[in-house]
Amino acid sequence: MPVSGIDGLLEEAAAEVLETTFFTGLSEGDGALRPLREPLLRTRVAFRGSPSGRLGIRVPAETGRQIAANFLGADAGETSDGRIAEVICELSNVVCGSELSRLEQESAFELLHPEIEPPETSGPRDNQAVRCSLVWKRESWRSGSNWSLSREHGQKDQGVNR
Amino acid sequence: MLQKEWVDVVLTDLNISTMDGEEFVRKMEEDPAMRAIPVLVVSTDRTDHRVQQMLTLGATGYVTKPFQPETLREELERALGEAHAG
Repeated sequence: MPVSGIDGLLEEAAAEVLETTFFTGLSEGDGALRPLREPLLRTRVAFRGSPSGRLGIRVPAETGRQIAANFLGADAGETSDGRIAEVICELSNVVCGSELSRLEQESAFELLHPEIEPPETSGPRDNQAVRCSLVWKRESWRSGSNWSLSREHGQKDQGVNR
Repeated sequence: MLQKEWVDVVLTDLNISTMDGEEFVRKMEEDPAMRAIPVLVVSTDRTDHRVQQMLTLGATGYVTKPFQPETLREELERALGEAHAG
């Protein structure tokens, strides 16, 4: 499948997951890069099969808190950091599975357990964006795509890496 | 937990940290005391291969994530109905 088509599928998968499971969705944001005002929570989930690769999600801390509160049906102020991390791991897991099912409907794959990575605390970033990237290996080539969505539900910020 | 108290139905993901979901369903099926408990698998993996594998192992039903709440409710009702009928 052309990489340009994968961008659309990733966005489609994320939109469905956010709407049905996390009670939020995609919308437009300004996409401007500014110094970080808050840490970025980072999770990744690797998958094996055809294709093999990994999906990563990077979420501003406060956005992560809101997503977790939506998912748990809890008050954002009472949601612990540990629970937020678990929910963002689950977000990674579901988006990854949903995306892979769209890419390779006939192939079996195995998702490994989502992992939490050290948070990012510096650098110019879109402070309101959730960013998701998918990178996979297939024989000798490697490709990936990414998009982001704003806290008020997202700006697409698509890019393609070969 | 299942060895200490009775539950009406079990929902399990395939990708859980303490035990592989496939192994969990297999253990449930092998245990005479637990075999009667319906098991619904909830997973992001929607490939036919995986669905058939889990149903063959003994899962009562299979719900793919993300799902609508109505879908889960229908599957729960069906699983409980089958358990009571069986």
